Amino acid sequence: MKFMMHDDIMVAGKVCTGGSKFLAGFKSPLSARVYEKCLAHDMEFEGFLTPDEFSIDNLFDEKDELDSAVVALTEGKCDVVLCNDVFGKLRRQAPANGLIYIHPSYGTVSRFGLMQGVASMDQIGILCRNLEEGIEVLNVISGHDVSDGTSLPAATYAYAAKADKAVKVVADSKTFPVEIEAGNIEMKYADCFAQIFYILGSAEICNNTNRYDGVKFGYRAEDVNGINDLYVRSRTESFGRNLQLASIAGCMVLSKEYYDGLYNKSMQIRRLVKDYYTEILDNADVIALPAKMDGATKYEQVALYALAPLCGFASVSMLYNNKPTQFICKRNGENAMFALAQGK
Amino acid sequence: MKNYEVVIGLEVHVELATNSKLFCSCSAKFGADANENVCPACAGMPGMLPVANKNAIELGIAASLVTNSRITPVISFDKKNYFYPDLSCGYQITQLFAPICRDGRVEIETSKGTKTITLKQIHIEEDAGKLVHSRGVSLVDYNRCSVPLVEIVSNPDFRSAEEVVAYLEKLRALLTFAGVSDCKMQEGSMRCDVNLSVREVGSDVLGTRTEMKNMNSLKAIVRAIEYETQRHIDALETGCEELVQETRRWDDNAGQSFSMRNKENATDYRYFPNADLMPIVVDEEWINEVKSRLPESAHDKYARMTKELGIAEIDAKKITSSKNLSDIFDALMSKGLPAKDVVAWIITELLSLDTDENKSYDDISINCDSFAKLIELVNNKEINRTIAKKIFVLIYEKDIDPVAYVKENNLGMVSDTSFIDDAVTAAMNENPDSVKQYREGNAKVVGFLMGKVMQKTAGKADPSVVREILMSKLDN
Amino acid sequence: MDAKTLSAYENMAKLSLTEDVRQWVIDSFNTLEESFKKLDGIDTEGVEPLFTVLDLKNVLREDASAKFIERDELLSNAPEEYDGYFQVPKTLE
Repeated sequence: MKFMMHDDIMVAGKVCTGGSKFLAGFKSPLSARVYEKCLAHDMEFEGFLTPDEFSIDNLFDEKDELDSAVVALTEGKCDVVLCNDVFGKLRRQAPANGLIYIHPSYGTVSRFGLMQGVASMDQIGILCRNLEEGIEVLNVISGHDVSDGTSLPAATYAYAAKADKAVKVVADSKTFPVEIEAGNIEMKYADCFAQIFYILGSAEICNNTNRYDGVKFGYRAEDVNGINDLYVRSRTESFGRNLQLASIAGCMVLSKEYYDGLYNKSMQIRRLVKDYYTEILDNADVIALPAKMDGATKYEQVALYALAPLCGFASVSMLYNNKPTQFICKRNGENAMFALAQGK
Repeated sequence: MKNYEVVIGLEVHVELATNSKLFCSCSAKFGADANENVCPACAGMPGMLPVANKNAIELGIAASLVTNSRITPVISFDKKNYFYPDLSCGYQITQLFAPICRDGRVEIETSKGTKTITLKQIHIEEDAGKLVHSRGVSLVDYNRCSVPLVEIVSNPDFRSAEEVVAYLEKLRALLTFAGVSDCKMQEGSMRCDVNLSVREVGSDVLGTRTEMKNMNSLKAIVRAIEYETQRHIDALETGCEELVQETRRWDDNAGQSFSMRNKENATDYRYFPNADLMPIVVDEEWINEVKSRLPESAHDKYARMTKELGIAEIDAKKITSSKNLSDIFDALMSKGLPAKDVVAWIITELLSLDTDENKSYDDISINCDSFAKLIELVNNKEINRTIAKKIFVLIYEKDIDPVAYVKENNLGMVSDTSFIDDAVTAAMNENPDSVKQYREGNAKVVGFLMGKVMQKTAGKADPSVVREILMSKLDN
Repeated sequence: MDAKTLSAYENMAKLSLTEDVRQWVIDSFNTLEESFKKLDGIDTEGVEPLFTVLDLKNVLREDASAKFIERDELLSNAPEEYDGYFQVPKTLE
């Protein structure tokens, strides 16, 4: 199988930019665990694709350029692309372009060698043309890694599209209609998903990109006047505006003034969300959601994509009954979800 | 003038004695060339994830135990954001919400008696790198970046520099004996931030506080406290300057503290939990396991030395004032040597070798195997004391093997009476005046004649045999 | 978001927004801040904050040291290096 990767998933000795001008020319000293695993399984690496800067989706402009991964796959350059879709861009674009995106459960795929963005939600996923190939790749890249302290203990996973019994699907058909027969649930807290996602996400991105300061590697502004000028100009000149916005927002939500009201509160709501939806998935196999909302802004649509990363759930985004659809399941519920997605 | 008192709180940073760093596997050894012990993680490069060092946590537990602290059942790590070139990631991993322990107590002794210093908390965190300033630029070395340390935060319980020094010495004894750290101030593995304010005696309101960071010598700390106390009192008395809460830099050469305006003051560090590091449960079982492995404390060792081994209190106190000295004592004792000989050699010989005042007992380094062999040679009457002292210096300075050295240089003690008899006779014949003086009642010349005999035996004769033969001949 | 507040965050983030980015950031912030009001409606009294979705505990490694990378390679990405050090403008006045 031929695979490509967004270049925020690193390969030793190769230039990895994470889509950032800051890292133009940065030669990686290490290889991502997923890359090594793919090679070990005789997959062929067809090269890098450039992601949005550190995979931060452009949420506040309505222009929606196709992601490089979507383009590469539709042009047939490879069979699968590995990427870190935390913000939902690929889960939004994949179904619309007849592709499938598999977002694994948090902790099943090693993040070693992935440029860190939203540490508590980062998760390397698989953009593919057909589900079987995607599942095959998931089996290759998942499994415990001692170099990732958030890696779950199972050494390997044997995912397959198979269900022992009828797959129980639930959905909030009133607010989030889907083209599938489903039991009814209320998508509680959904009107806060985008907010807490952005609050938690921007803080972690802001923090994780502090390292891009022009001291040790990467871009350094010319003719700087002292260390502070070096920081400010190196970062300002090389960071795109989505990253600048996330950095400013991250500083705000973590500041003394807003920590309790925004950051801590978002962590509290995240617990309520996780508890509520975990209970729903204790009584059902899959939550079905649309993969896009007509008439909603990209920021508003984050509500659709935030649930899986907020709770660490797995998801599959695809065309289902010709509708862009997203299936979400708990860890260890993947097989039933895949079976449903496969129509088995 | 009103009656003032100084109120001091300390934040003591102590580097933990681990092999590797806190969150990556780089060596934590001191003294490597710049950036030799650095990997992509501690250089702040993307892609690597922190995994906590079990030994560092256990040394944190040990630090909690020896300071009588209350250990937190579930600890976690947080991120503290700030930009400085010695901090490679732009954040430091530390513990804000659930530190390793709280509410410790350390007992100190001063000229005014014993006093208990209470601790607010101890937390485990990463050290930062080192900056070298030269040629108009700054150079960054990340070898120390992410080396584990504990920050021991006291309450503002100190009322004098003497108490501060007593506390730092006590902490050093507690931590070095527990194997938590080597606490070498000159190597920066023990550093101290001094928070100081002054108020009128009797007041229960704290005055304006200033902080002096990264102090790494006891003398400098004492001078800084004395200077800063006086500065505060002058400001309060005369109004010559307004005291502001700030961080100040102590310049030991200038003997003055300087304001670090615009820096560090009023920074918002934006602490938040680190999602890369899972919580750590520190249960009773683990605590007991660490406790059972703790080496003998200075206090227990002192008690054992004085009560079981019959060592004089003054000597025992000296030896247990330093972990290093105690280790040398233990190493010699483990060779089965009598305690009184071991103590005598340490106190009278070892401690008089190097009297450089900048060197502490912790800096003494000697090959204890050779040291023990030397004491054995003397005890077995294979060499005499004079020669032994000379060899001792060679062991200390050149690490020679005493047994081989004695053999090669033919220094074995001679007790052969006929050989000594001949030497005595020769010495008496060559110095008839001295013999005459002795016989006229001047006993002082015995030493002179002893020396002459020893000379003739190349210093190797058993002095007690020499004396015996000489006296018998003189008195005849 | 007013200019003074924004500049405080810029200073924290070590950024100095250009004029066009600044306006866009302010506009985006208005959207964000408006949306954040929704959080007020949720009662989180007594709820333990969640910072990771995992229930892993005590993920620890043994204290063994290993060299990951040679210094030359480490420094090969440095914008400026001198004698094994990363070089920056003087940090002390």
